[in-house]
Amino acid sequence: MGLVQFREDDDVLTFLKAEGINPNLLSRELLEAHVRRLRAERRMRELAEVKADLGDVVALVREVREEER
Amino acid sequence: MARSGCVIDASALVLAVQREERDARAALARKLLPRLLEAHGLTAPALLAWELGQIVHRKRPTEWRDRAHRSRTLQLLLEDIELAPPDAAMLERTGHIAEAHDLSFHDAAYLELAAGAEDRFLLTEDERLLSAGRALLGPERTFDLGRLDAKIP
Repeated sequence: MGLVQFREDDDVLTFLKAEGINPNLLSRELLEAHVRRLRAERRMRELAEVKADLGDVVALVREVREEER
Repeated sequence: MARSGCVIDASALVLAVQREERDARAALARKLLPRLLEAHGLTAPALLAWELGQIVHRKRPTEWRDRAHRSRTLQLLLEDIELAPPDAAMLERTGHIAEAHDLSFHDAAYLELAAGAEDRFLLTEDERLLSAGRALLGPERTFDLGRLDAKIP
């Protein structure tokens, strides 16, 4: 059932082909892990476009976290 | 169900939206997060969502085009991260860690989650949390992005 679901995602098949991997030989667990990575790489590209200037992120998070202290 | 292996905090995750000219660790975060998701999975206390929301929507909102862009960013940051909801036992352990190590309850929540399984480790850029992690979890289960980069393929 899982493999049918993955076949609908062209990126997954492209990735597996480039890696020389036959999706039929992979466990569902490994395929899901590949999908997580592919989806995350796509998200990271979009997040990179934000180009926020958050200053010192550690100080910023500390500020948020300590407000509740 | 067993939780994922890498407990990530807001200081490491929010770097994914930071401009590289401001902080070179931004590129490192964007490189490592997909690999971590593939190899270990990412998890965090549910409060991570509130911490990121406070940063994006309240602390630095002008860094985004509009509210929809802020909401989209929050969604992208949190996708595929397993958020652990609080329960009574978890809150009790978190309280103990907070008091014993003189930490905020927020800091202690990350440590409590990381301490919950021996194959789980903490990823943060926050020196205070790193220090507490080294003390509670040990240095082999406590990482910042730079140190983790050398450890995962």
